[in-house]
Amino acid sequence: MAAINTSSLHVFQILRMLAGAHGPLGVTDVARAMELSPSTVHRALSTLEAAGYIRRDATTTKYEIGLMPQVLGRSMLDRHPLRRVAAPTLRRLADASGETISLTVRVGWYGVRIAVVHGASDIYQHRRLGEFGLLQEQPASRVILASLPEIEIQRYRRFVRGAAPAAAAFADRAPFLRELAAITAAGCAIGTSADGLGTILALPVRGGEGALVAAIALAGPTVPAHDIETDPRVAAWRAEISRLEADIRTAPQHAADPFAHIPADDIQFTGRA
Amino acid sequence: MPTMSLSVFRYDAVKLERNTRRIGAWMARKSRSMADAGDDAAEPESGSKTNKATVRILEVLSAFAGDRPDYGVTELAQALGMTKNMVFRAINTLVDQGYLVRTASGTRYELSYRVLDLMNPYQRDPDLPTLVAPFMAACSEITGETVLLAIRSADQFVVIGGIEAKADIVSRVPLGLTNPLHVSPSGRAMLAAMTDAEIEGYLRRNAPLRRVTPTTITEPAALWQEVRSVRARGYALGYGDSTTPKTSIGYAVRDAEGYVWGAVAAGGPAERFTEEKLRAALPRLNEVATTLAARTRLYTAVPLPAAIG
Repeated sequence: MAAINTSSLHVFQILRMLAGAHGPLGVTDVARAMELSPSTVHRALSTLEAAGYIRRDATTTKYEIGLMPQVLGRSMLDRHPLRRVAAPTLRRLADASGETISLTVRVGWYGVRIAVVHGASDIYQHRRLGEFGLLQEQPASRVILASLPEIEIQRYRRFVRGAAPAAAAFADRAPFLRELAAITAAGCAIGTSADGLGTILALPVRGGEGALVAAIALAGPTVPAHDIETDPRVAAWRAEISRLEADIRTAPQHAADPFAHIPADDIQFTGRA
Repeated sequence: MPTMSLSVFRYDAVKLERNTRRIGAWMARKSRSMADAGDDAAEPESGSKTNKATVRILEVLSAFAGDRPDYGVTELAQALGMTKNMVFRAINTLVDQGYLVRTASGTRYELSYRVLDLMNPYQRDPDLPTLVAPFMAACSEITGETVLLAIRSADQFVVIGGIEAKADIVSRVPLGLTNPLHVSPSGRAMLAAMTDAEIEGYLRRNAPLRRVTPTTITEPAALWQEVRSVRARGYALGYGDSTTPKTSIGYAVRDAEGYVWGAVAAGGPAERFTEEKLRAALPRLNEVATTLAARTRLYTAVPLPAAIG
């Protein structure tokens, strides 16, 4: 294994730091946080800026993540054929509901939001494309988790215990299993957005043999949180999704998983998981 | 009235891909020289301002942001103008950092899910001007003429930005200028990029077509002819749409859903920006347009709210 250039390592560490930052950071901020000399940091930042990975704010002369990481992330997401195949369905749901529609798939023991389509409402719910989290974290990925066979759920709990012990506390309690059962019974999962203003309703997308290939979530101020079984809007949305499901049944490659060849336990996101 | 008679350039798919990667590498080098030129840093440095080996690693990673899902070492070396050894070392670092993985076959590499770690959750999507900026700069460099960006708004377009050429006599960037889609290379490029059904709808809603300049196409049959021309070439040309003889070319910009978002156009006085000059610039302009298309295809335009009533 070839020795890795230390300065290359610093560059990636600094890039990851900027990727998680709440706002622009200056040379001193980064140098202090990473315990590196300002000249090393400055050199790394110049390198990243030259390659388009970060950009410098003209007024504050601080740095923030640039366009390239976004482009890379989106290119990676594009490897899921479902992104393109489901696009018309997501657009129709967005037009019908006026709300934000997202498509989540399973990557290992995580849920990843691989598509987001906004409706035309003036006030809209922002859902981050490429957001990932353990399957228990979001309504859409909970729908996927609930559909897994018992043995897979056990494997999931084992993984969480090892990879994210804080999250394991939730996965190990009885309410967790009860909630999964409730999701399966209702055929949907409901949650609230982080600021509490909007509802998130997640519906399953089944492939051949009834296994879930994805989940579609509607998020926004007018999404219903109650009486889901009787709400005619929800029925219309489910009908729209069943048309997508029919397409997937006839062409299973439309829901192909580009990471199928990697064992779930080997897939780990750093930092924010 | 002088007529444009440029032959259609047919593109070999492999050549186009190779050229697309070359323009990507060219733009990476361009942005690097632009960054160096603009940076009058006061930091006293013993070494160079950027780490060349790391820049190479980042360039290799950036190559995976295009249309191709995976690459082999030799292809990358050729596309980026690096030795196989350099590419191999770069790939090793990227695999070690988790941003690239081997494909299922084992001989090629592809982006790993870990690149999602680099997407900042607090960062908003770039707007169209931000996305298009480097490509407009490239067009400006290639033609030496004014480049403008127009955004579509229902059946019209609005000029929202541009780069004016650095010469004494130049074409203006008319910020805020609004025109129907059948007018000017910007408009016609966008119209041709729409579906037949959408164009039929446009014609229905806007008949009779308004004449804005002496050469505006107002006959639907002639407009369909023009649409077919533009679709065959991949760009729209200006037909003396302004008072002074002007050569201009426009490329449509689409989003991930195929929605026609806007157009990038370049133009200048016909005396300087001659037919020959445009013809000579076409291969590089087409490459830039292709790379821009690959970029805007990754984003979704924000829908305009529907009119009430």
